[in-house]
Amino acid sequence: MDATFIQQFFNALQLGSLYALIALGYTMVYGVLLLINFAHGDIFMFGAFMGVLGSWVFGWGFVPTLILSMLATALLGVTVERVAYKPLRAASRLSAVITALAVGLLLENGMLALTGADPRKYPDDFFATQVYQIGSVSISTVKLLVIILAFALFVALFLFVRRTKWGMAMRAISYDKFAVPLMGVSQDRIISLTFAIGTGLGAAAGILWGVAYPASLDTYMGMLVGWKAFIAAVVGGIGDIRGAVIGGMILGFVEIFVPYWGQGIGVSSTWRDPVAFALLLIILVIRPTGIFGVARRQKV
Amino acid sequence: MALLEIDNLTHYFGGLRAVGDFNLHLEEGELVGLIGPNGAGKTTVFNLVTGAYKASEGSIRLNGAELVGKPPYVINGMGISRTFQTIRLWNSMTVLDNIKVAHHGRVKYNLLDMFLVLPRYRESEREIEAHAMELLRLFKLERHAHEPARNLPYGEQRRVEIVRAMASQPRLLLLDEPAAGMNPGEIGSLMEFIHWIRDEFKLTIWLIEHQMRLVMNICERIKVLDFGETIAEGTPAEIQNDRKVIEAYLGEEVEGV
Amino acid sequence: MFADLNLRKRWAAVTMPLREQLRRIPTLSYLVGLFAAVVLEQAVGKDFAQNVLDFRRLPRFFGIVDIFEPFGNLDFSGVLAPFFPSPTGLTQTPVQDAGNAIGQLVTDFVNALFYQGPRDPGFFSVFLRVLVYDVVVFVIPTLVVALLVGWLLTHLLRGLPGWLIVALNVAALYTVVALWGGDGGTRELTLVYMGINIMLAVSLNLVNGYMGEFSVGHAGFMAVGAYVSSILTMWFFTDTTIFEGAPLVATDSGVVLVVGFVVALVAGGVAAALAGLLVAFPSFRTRGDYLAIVTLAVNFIVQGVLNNIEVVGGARGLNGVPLWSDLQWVMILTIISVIIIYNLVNSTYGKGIIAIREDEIAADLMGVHTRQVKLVAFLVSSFIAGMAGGLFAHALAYVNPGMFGILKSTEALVMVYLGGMGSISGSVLAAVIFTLLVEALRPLAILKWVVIPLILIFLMLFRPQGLFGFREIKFNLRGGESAAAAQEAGDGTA
Ligand SMILES: Nc1ncnc2c1ncn2[C@@H]1O[C@H](COP(=O)(O)OP(=O)(O)O)[C@@H](O)[C@H]1O
Ligand SMILES: [Mg+2]
Repeated sequence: MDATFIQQFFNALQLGSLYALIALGYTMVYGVLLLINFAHGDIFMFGAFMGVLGSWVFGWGFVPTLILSMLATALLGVTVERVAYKPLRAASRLSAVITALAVGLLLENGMLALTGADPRKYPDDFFATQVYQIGSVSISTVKLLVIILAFALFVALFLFVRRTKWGMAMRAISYDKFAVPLMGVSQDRIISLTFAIGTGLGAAAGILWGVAYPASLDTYMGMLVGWKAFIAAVVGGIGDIRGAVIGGMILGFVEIFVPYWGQGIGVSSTWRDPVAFALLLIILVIRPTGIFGVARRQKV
Repeated sequence: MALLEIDNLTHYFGGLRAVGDFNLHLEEGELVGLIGPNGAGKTTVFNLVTGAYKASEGSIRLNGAELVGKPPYVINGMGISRTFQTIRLWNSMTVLDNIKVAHHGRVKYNLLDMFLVLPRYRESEREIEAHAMELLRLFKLERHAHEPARNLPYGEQRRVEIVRAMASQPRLLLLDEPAAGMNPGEIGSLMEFIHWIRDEFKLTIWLIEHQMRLVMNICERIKVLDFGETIAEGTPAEIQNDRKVIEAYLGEEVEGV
Repeated sequence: MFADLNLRKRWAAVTMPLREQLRRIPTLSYLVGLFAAVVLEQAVGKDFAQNVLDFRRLPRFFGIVDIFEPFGNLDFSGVLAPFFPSPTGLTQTPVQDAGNAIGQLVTDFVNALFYQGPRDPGFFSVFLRVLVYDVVVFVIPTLVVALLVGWLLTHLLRGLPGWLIVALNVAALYTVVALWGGDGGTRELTLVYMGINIMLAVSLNLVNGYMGEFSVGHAGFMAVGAYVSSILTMWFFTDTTIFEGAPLVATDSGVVLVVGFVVALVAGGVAAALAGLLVAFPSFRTRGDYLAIVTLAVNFIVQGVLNNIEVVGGARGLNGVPLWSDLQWVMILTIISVIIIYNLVNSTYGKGIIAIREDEIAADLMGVHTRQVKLVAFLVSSFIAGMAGGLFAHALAYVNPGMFGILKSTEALVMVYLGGMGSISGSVLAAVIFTLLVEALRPLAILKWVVIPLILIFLMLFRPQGLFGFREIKFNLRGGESAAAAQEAGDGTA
């Protein structure tokens, strides 16, 4: 294994972690509401923008800004759910999905209209980068931060969902809406909590994305990334937390290694996206409900 | 050769043996019953015969032609039609359209005929519509023809399902709990109705039913399932006195749901 | 409040006989009325607009394009920019700056409403004058002529076969639109977009409304059609450096060009239908949300592949597509597409599509060859989307992969759900409204994409079935009091 391979491996791990963090937001909401929250990519963008607010306007460092962004974005997520999705819970699922699409458009274009199109980035001292040299492999602290923080959040979320009453209620609700009141927690609260956590994780991904890819901060940054993360969630088996992580990682690795191996055989790096999507499509055709998804067979 | 021959039919859902070693030969014009407690595997047998599920083992033949492995619409076209335990009409479509769509096997035009409304298309549509209306008239449902199926009362919806099953002119009709949800008066007329269908259309009828009065009165032969296995077989009188059958039914609390 | 209610009642009572009359006359009389109005506009419209109403030019598209123009100067970007600054835009006093921006915005807004200078009238002024123009030039003449010819037409149409009446209406509509819109300018272009949007909406409705799937990648098929047809027409008929230089077929013969364009458009449709197979085959095994992802992925793949084919310009796109999609072409193909879909969903075969939506398993067991039916639905839908794409390319003279992204797919979705699932007339109407909305909001620049989603959100909250969910607009084709027409009118006011 040569050095560039290892370096690419870490690049893929970083990108995959970020996709996974975003995919979690899709998957958690889908788990409790069976709703594809198409606005999630733009919520991710909002999180990144809250980072601009914290770092430049308040002059805060990384950690307080991260917390601010996660809290503010969670508030946005819960508000969106209350205002736009909740009234549609009884209506057809499609109405809610269309609404979600519209909310996403509203967020990205509203943000553009209200803040202008000037290019943004975080302050240079926002996260002081160091590069470690291990043999011929160089790894930046940013990469380590992204990977470690993302994994810490996965583990925390996993424990929360498996070990706490709230987490179990969250899982129960996707199987049976009526069982949850029996567990002594209200359905509305569970849904709000789900949105808060999902969008909070999206915000963390937003800030980390801005740190890792400084040139990408604009109001449309969540569009393509969001769709991709969503597809990753589906490939993993939407509704399943492990699935989101695996799906995100697969996507990250494909996107890094297609150009890496491709250049050897004369394939340009711009083939990255179509190849990634084609691969995900193939996975879905082979396993129509994703890697961890359970097929719900219809009874006759 | 019998009309329908089922030999050693077995079906597994994962580890669950839902139907085990099921054998039955139906003669032309017979009226046969299939009974058993809830979850015995009766509906599964119908699903296997109509192609909704592919049998794990065994053989099902209609006039000697193997059915296992054939898709449902082919089996339907070969002359087997059915109703469902819970009503499965196409709810937002009108009653007439429900019947017309069940004529799919008789569509005689191609896409071009359809897009250009060529004579072949019009001829075939006229034929289908006429046949559908005739069926509705025969079953005294014509006044509902243009109502959405979901607007009909429950009992009428059950009848529409039977009419829809008749649309493909089947030789064998499978009725899955036709009396479910009916009161005794309605069950009485249902029994006459089933007899009438068989005589009018020269059909073979095989039905699943929980209402013993109905089964014992109209079926010539009865087969009893429990946990997927056949526990008894015979005339209504034989079945009524069968010890195993009585035992199986004693465990049963709710009827006809 | 009570006075208001009373007034409304009295107004209703006074207008009752008139509305009754308007309901009784056949649709064709309105088209004749419109024809008269269009002739009137061509005779005196310009004079009336410029000399009486003080417009600088003829109101564009019934003035719809003019009314929001006064808001074109509003700049919202100062409101939040101080809080989300770029490194160069950093300010020490964000709250104050935002306050100033809001103050400025309010001033601008008030000015936009009332007056912003002698050359730039305010919104109210434009709106009122547009209203007067439309009522005087279009509404009144149309209604008067319609009433005048209504009785006559009712008698003339009596006894004619239904298909002939439909054909007469279509021909009349065609004439009116061609006469009014064939200006070779913005009117025509807007109508061309409208026709293309109708094709998109109706074809997507086949899959999303009638079949009950959720395709979110319709623009992908459009892209395939656009590229394939453009490549063919450029290669065969234009002088382009991309394909061989000189045209393969150097001809001025109108017949050859017409046949060539038809062949190119059909080839585009066929190619799009082949891409439709990428969705149709997975649909045999999976449906609902998972199929939605498949459509999404196909959209991205098509876009990504086009981005990477250098021969067709890669991300830069194809320049120099011949400008052939005029109003006639678009109208004819739009009408054909609508007829194809209408005939499909009204045939016994095509109603199998609806049966699949309602209960696929029952459809399967009752003799519907569900796979074949799905295949047909996806193929027809993507074929028409591909043709629409071909027309689109030849209306813009330019295509690039970026035009056919999720945003375009979303536009198609908006039209379908605005019009209502499972309603052809709803989709047509929604496509008309949407096209006009986009044109009207054009001066607002990015705000357009704030307003459209807001409309969609309110629509879903208050009328989730869309304008005509699972119903069709009924036309009083023969005239006289038909029960259906009366009932429909009643529904409309409810
Ligand atoms: N699609 C299926 N998947 C898994 N198990 C099934 C399925 N359909 C039926 N079963 C099981 O098979 C058994 C027989 O069911 P069924 O044939 O519906 O019984 P009956 O009609 O006699 O009441 C039951 O235990 C039921 O739970
Ligand atoms: Mg059963």
